[in-house]
Amino acid sequence: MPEIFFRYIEKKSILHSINPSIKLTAVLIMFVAVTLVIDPITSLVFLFLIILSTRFLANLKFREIATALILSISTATFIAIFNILFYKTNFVPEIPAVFKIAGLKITDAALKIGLSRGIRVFSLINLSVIFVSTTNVTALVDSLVQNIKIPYRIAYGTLVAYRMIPLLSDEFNQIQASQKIRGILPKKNIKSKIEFFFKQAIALMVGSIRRSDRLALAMDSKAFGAFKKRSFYRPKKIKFKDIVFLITTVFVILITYYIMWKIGFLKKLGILA
Amino acid sequence: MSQILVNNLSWQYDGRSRPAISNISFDVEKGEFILILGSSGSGKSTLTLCLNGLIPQEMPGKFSGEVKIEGLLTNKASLSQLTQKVGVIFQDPESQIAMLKVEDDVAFGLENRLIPLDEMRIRVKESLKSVGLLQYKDDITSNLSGGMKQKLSLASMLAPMPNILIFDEPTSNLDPKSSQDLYDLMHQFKRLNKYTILAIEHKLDGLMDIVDRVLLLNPDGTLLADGNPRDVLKKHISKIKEYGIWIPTVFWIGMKIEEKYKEQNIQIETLPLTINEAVNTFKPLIKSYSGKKEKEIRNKKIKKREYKKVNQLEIKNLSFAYTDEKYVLKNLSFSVDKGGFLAIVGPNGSGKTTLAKILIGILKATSGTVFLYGKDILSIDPVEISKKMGFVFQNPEHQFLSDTVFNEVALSLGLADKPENFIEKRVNDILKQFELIEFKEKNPFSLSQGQKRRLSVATMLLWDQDILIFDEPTFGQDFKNSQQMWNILRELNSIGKTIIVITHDMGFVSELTKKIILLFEGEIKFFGNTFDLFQKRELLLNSNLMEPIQTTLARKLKLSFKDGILPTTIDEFLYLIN
Repeated sequence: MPEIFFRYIEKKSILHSINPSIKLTAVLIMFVAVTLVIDPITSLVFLFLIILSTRFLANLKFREIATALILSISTATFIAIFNILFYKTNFVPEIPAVFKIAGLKITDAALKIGLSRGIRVFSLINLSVIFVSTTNVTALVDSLVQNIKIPYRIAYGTLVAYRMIPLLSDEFNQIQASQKIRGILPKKNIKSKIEFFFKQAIALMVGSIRRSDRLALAMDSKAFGAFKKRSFYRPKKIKFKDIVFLITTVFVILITYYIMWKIGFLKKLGILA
Repeated sequence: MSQILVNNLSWQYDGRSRPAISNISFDVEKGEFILILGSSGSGKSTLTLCLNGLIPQEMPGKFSGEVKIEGLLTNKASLSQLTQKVGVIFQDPESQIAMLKVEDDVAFGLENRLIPLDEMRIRVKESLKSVGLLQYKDDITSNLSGGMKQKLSLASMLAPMPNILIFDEPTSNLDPKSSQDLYDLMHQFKRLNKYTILAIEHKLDGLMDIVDRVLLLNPDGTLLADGNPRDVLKKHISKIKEYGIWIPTVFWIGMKIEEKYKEQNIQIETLPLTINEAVNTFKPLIKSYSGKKEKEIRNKKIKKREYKKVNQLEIKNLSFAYTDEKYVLKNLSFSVDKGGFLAIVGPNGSGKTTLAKILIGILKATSGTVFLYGKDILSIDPVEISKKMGFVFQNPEHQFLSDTVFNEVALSLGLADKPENFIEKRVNDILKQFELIEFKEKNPFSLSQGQKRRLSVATMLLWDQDILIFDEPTFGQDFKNSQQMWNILRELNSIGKTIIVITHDMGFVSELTKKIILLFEGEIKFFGNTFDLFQKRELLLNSNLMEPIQTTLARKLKLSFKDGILPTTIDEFLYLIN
């Protein structure tokens, strides 16, 4: 389950109390802001800001998100090293080396790009972790429907399907166990392994289709989709506080850009660089 | 005017060759409690879907006749209106809960009906309170037990304030205690006289005292009888037996007594439906009770229960925990003799299935050892284990890998590189044994529930294993299929197989199994002879288990063997009453 890495952690914090749609918007803006920065020092400043908000705005202890941190650090490290070693400028003879590793030329550009990409990946994963850890799924869907006017049939339909995911993985485990007990194991070649997987998937699908039929009946019985509108048990409003939060986020990004540009680190913004 | 009016109703699903129900007519007055009986596939569930308008409005098929709910025609009125008037609770607890939190799920149906927030808050609270779940309102739905899930579905159904409640086998996936809880709620609703209730159920013993009427369906979806339960049972008993429909235990005992007394020309005036009725009816019959022969039959029974002492399977100090803190199984020790018939019982969540998984080697014990013929099971190759021990899972579909019934059975033999003619013969033999030979070219998924079950057992018996473990073999099955399953178990045991069965089905346990393990919260609370367990009423109650009806009845009649032991099988009961 993805929940091992990303899961909602019930707590009290500023971020927990922000309207989920606003929070999502703020996180997306931050995503873009981080992605556009090529300069590693500026990236590092953003990472620092994100880590600060993890601890103080989201009230998350690093122990609580340890698995996610390990995942993001290892991914980021891999990307950084890969880029430093193999960035295209390393293979252009005219560009001088900063230093060499095992005969491989490392250029200045490769070093910068590698570090910047690594730091940005680390930042982006952590942004996602902050969002997921502070946002209850039901609250998010409630808010998307009420505040952003996403059609409720689609939103809640997805939520109902989401509820079924753990059941599916349980069921797949049982299917595998029942084959093992019969002493049926696929032969050691890849072809028969793939065949075996598909056969098990069929057993899983037959069960799921039947379940989704039953679920559809139950939904109809609850008048799901009977009317265009619906009322809300958990009203989600956009409050003054939420607007302040969104504006502050944008302001902090612009200030950071400005300062970094003033002191000469941030020379240009790039897309996917 | 009647609250429900069904007139000449027929329905045929698209793509089916015959109607699921045809020419059904009946009407229901407000406040009635109606039981719908019929074998599986006779259209019981279809009939209930016709009452809240999902048929014909949401399903493709051919509809004729008419159904009126409080004056509304179900093929014309809006679904939101119909589903508000008629609430349905279905069989599978997993597939009717929509939301992640308990109170959100109750609110879900109200939000869809545009009920204002203030009103919703009141209704959510009241619905949860009426099923006893108010204190769990903030819980995550997937963490609830099966019984609690069904109560939640009930609460969600009550919130829109329906007048008619339909229960479509709500207890078939529950343990006995949770079923009883649900029956208690149904009793409560009946007393309130607020709702009209239609119920489809297989286990009738807990409900008979509130049933006003029975609708009995033929396997072809026509209505055979409509009347008060005693009349319908009495008049159509041969059909009911033929269709394999459950008969209330006390009614069954009454019939048996009648049979026995035929020669003495004693007739039971009215066959009982409930325990209280049975006590009154049977009391006059036991005046002549002397208790002379008791020692004899008891001794005979005990002798029959003796068998050769070979420890096939031995469990020593077994403990298991999924995480460090919480032990699911705590220091279990027991052994299973060759040719034994052992039941493992206990409420849901007591660790039964975990234990079975350890026995078969899917899970590793945290501490302790399982010995198979004296050898540590962890040191035996998995393929070798599967040749000594078979395991039949709850859901037969999980194991189907092949496109035909024949190939499904042949599969593991084929992988073992056995010669083709050997496979052919062995598979055909097994298919014959399980009455599946005529379906050998069919796809396993297209079989009926009972056939799927038999196939799943058949595939497990290829290696002629000595030990067979069954995990809830009658889970979600109707009476006929359950009976068939238990017959298979009994036959296998009679040819010398050791049977271990995890089950809730106390009726069958008391009749068939020799030994019993009672698991409660991961500990063995009882390990011994089956009939001994059923003497311990306190223990059963504390472990959320029910004793067999005949035992309850015997206690109320003060009917016991000389040494004070209560009868636990129907035969013993009949013997004593003579």
